[in-house]
Amino acid sequence: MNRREALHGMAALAGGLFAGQSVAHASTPALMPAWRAWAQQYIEYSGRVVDTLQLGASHSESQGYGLLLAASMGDRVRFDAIDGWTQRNLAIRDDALLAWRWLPNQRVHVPDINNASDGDLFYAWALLRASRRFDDGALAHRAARIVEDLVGTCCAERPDRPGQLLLLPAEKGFSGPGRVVFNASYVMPLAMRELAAATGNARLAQAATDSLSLMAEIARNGPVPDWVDVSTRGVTPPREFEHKVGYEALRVPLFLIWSSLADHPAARQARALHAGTDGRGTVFAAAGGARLQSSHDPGYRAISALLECSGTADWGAAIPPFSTSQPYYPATLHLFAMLAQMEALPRCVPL
Amino acid sequence: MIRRLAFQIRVLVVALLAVLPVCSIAVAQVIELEPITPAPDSGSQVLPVLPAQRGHDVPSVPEAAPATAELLAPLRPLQMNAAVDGVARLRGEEDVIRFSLLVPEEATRQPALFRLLYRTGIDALPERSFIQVSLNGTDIARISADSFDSFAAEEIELPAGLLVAGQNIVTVHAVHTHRVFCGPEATFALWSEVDIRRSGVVLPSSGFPTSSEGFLAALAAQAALGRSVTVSSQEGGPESLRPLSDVFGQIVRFLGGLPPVFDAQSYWRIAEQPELARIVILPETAPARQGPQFVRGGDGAVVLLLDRGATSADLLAEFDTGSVSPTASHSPAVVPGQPAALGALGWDGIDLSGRYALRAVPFRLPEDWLLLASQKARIDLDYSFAPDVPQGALLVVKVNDQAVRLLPLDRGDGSALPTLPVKFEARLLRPGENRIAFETIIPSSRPDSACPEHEGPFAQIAATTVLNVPESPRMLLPSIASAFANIGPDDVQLSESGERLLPAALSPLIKGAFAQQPQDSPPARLMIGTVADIELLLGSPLSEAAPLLEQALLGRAQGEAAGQEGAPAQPTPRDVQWIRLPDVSGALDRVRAQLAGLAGLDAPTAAAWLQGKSAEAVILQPDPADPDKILFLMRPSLEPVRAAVALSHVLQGASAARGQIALLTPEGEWQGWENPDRPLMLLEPMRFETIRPVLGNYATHRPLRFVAIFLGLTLLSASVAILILLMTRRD
Repeated sequence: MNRREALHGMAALAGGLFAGQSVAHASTPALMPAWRAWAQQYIEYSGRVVDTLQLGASHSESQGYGLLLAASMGDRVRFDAIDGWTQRNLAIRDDALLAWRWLPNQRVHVPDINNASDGDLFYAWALLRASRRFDDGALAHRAARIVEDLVGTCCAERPDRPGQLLLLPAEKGFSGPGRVVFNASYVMPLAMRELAAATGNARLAQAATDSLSLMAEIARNGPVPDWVDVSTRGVTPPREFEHKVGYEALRVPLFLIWSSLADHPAARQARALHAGTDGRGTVFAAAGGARLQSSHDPGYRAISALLECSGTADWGAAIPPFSTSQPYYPATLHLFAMLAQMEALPRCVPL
Repeated sequence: MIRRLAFQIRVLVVALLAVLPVCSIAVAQVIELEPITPAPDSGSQVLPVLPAQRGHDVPSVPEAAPATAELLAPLRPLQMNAAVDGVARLRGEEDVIRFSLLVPEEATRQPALFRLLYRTGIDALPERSFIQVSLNGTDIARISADSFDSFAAEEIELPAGLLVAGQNIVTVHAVHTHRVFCGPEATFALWSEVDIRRSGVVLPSSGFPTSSEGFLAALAAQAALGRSVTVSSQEGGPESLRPLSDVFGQIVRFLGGLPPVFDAQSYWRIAEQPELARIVILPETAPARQGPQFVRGGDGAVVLLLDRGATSADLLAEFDTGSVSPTASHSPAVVPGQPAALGALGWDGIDLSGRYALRAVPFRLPEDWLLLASQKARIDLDYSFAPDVPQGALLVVKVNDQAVRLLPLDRGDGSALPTLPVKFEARLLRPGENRIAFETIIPSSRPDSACPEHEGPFAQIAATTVLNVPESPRMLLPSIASAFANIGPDDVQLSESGERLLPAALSPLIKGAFAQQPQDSPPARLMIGTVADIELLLGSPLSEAAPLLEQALLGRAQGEAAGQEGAPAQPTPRDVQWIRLPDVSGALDRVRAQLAGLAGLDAPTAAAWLQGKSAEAVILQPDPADPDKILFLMRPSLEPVRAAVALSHVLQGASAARGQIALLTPEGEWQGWENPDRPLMLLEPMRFETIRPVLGNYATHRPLRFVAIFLGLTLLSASVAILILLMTRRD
C-alpha cells in the first residue's frame, strides 16, 4: 500500500466515522466581507497568519484560529494556504501536534518545539469543521489524530481531585509533581465536545466537563484569571505569572457563550466585571477587579457587548462594526464574537 | 525521510543552543527556565520548565485617544442645493447664506466653541473684506477675509445660553471689496467659501445623547460630513430599505436641507471609521417593541432601533417629543386681492450694498391662480438711495427674472422719495413659487482702482413696500409644477423597473424631498421609474415623443455624438402649410410669423423639441387631462442625492419645469416643454364678475379657437336673423 492508497483508506475510514452528521453550522455569507478583510490584513500569501504585536510571530493558535475561520466561511483556497504553511513550518514534532511558535527574522524559526494545546485544539476543530464543509474525510482523520495526541500529552489529572481531567496549556512546562498550571482560556468547550463526539474520545469530553467544573470553582471567588495553579492544596494564584484577569482571560466568556454556556459562573463573573463600564477594559486585577488597562480596539468591545447581551433578554448587542484598523488579536476576537453571536446568540445582533 | 532528517537537525541545534549559555542567540530563542526555588509547602512543587513568553499581553502604555475623538456638530445649509460638495460659496460684494446647526441639549449647558473654516478669493482686499457670523440673530464674530491659500479656522467662544437645544440658525454674511477694480463687473470675481464639514460647534466629550434630538443631531453631523447613513438589517440588501422608506422620509423632513444617503448594510458589516448615527432594523423574529428606541452602538454611534414593521407615525410621535421641528422650506404665501407688505413676507427691509447687488423676495401664489391676459399687478415701492450714488446708477425691479422697471438712482435727493407705483403685467406671475427681485448696478468713476469706502448701502427697499396681486378666477393650466404641489411623501412610488434597477436609497430621499408638502392636498401620484417605463406613455398625448425620450435617456444624443454638442435644437414649427404665403418679402414673413404666433402654431411639438437632446432624468405629465399623474424617469447611474436635489428645484419653482416635459441636463439644469394643446380648466362656476378674466384667459391661451367660436356664434346669429327675416317678412 503506497501513501496515496493509505490516505484514501484513512479518508474512507474518517468518512465512515463522521457519516450521518450534518454540517454543524450554516453558511455565514453575511460575515464574508469581514472575513475577507481579516484575511487580507493578517494572512500572508503563503498562508502564514501574522501577529505583528508579538514580534510578527505566527503561533499554532493563530494558524488554528485562521483555519477555523476559513473553514467556517467555506474559503477552501485560504484554508489550504493556511494548512499548507502550517504543515511546512509547525508540524515538526514527532506526533500530530504543532510547535507552538514560529519567529520571523531568526536563524532558527522554531526554537521550541513544545506545543500549545489551544492551538492544537482549534486546529483539530477547524479540520473537523472543514471536513464537513468541504466533504473531505481526510481532514476529519487528521483531526482525529490531533485529538488522540492532544489527549495523550495534555490531559492531566487534577492534583486535588484524582480522577478529574484538565487540559494543560502544553505537553511540557505546565505540570509537576502535585501541581499543574491551568489557563481557562485554553479550554474551548464547544470545540472539545464536537471533537469528542466526532472521534468518540471520552477523555476529551471528560476534560471539557472537568475543566468547566474547575472554572466554576474558581469563579466562586471572583473572575477567572489568566493563569492559576492547581495543586494538592487546591486552586491558588499562579507562581510564575502575574495574577490578573487579562488578555488571556478575555477569551473565557467568549468561548463559554460560543458553547451556549452563557450562564456558567465564569461568564457571570466576567459579566459583572464589565458591567457599568464602557466595555473597553482589557486587564483587571484578579482581586477586587480594578481596571488596569483598557483599549479602543473594537474587538475587545465586541466581547464585552456580547457578554452584556447574553445576560439580558434584550435584542441587539453593542458589537461594533468589524474593522482591520486593530491588531491581529482583537481583530480575531472580533470575528469570533460575531461568529459566536451568529451561532449561539442570534438575538444579540450587532447594533 | 528528508523532512525527518531536517527535524532531527533542528532539534539538535536547539539542544546545542540550550546548553550554551554564553551564546546570546540561545538566550533569545530558548524557552525561559524558571529558577528552581524551594517549595513553599510540601504539597506544591516547582515546575521544571515554563514557557513564560506565552500570552497576549501588550505593553501598558498611556491609551491613545482615537483620531475621531473630537465631535463636531457641523453646519448644514438650509437650501438643498447649497454646498452639495461640502463647500458653501458666498459671491459678490455682499452675500448671505443661512445654515442649520442641530445640537443636543448637553451642548447648550456650558460655554461652547464654534469653529468656522473659511477662505477668500485673492481678488478681495483684506483690509475691507470680512465675514460676519451670527448665531440665532446674535452677532458672534467679524472675521477678516484674509485667508487666500487654504481654509483658515476661526474659533469663537460661545457664551452659555446662546445655543439652543435642537435647531440653531447660523448666518454667514460676507462683505468683499475688490483690491484692483471697482464696478459691477469686478464684483463677480469676489468670493469666500466656508468648509461646512469642518465648521460648527465642538461638542462635549459625552457626544450625542441617545435621544431623538441626539439622534437627529448625530445624523445631521454624519450627513454634513458627506458620509452615508447605515441602515443595517439581517439581509443587508437594498430591498430592506423599501418597506421603511416612509420612515426615512420623515427623518429627512426633520433634518431639512440636503438629505443624507441611506446605505443598506448587514449587521456584520465592516466600518473602518466609527459612525455618529445609524439605523438598525431588528430581525423579523424580534418581539414588537413600544415604538422606536435610541441606544448606543458599539462604536459610540446613536442607534435608532426600528421594528421591521415600524411606521412613520411611530417615528413622528417620537420626534415630536424632542426640540427639533421640521425645517420649513415653503416661501410665504401672498393672497391675491390683498396687499402684501415686504414686512409681512419676512423682510425688515432690503439693503442694496456694493456695486452690483441682487436681492430676491420669494413668495407663493395659490396653485389655482391664473391671469394670462392684460391685467396689471403693482408694487408700491418705498425706496431710497444714498446722496453720493455715482452717475449712471440704476435700480432694476424684476418679476420672475423679467425687468419691469429701471429706476435711475442719480437724480435728486434719494433720501425721501414718495411711494412709487410700479405696474407690471400680472401674467408675469404664475401659480405657485414666484419672486420679485431688486438689482442695483452702481458704476464707478475710477473702475481701475479699489472702490472707495461707502458708508451704508447705496439703496434701500423699505419693509412698507407692498405687492398687490389681482384676484383671479380659480383656473388651472396643467403643468408639472402644479401637480408637484399636490404630491406628498405617500404619493411617491417606484415602478416595477424602478424597484429592480434604481438604488434603494433613492425612494427615501425623494420622499424626504416631498415630506413638507401639505398632507391634505388632492390625490396625486409620482411614479419613479427608468427608461423601461417609457411604455407607460403609449396612448397618451406624449406617445409620439416616446422614442425620442427613450433616446434622450439612453445615452448621448445624436446631435452630440455627431459633434454638435451645445447647438440648440431647432424647433420645428407645427404644420403651418395651410397658411403658407408667398415668400416675397420680409414684411410678409413677419405677418406670417405673427399669425402663426397668434394661433399658437409656432410652438414646437414634443418630438421636435426633443430632437438632439439628452437627459439624466425626465419629468413627464403624460396627459394634461389627468394632470396629477407624474412620471419621473431617470438613468440608474444618476446619484440619488442629485436626483432629490433636482426634484427639490422643481418644488422650489424652477420655471423650466412648468410644462409637460422637463429634462434634467447633465449640468443639473432643467429644460422644459409646454404642450400648446393642454386644456385650460375652470375650477369654479362662472360668475358675472369673473366673466372677463375667464374670457381673457381663454382668449390668450387659444386665440384662434376663441375667435373661431365667436365667429361661429356670429354666423349662427346672422343665420338665425336671416332665417327669421325670410320667414316673417312680408312684402
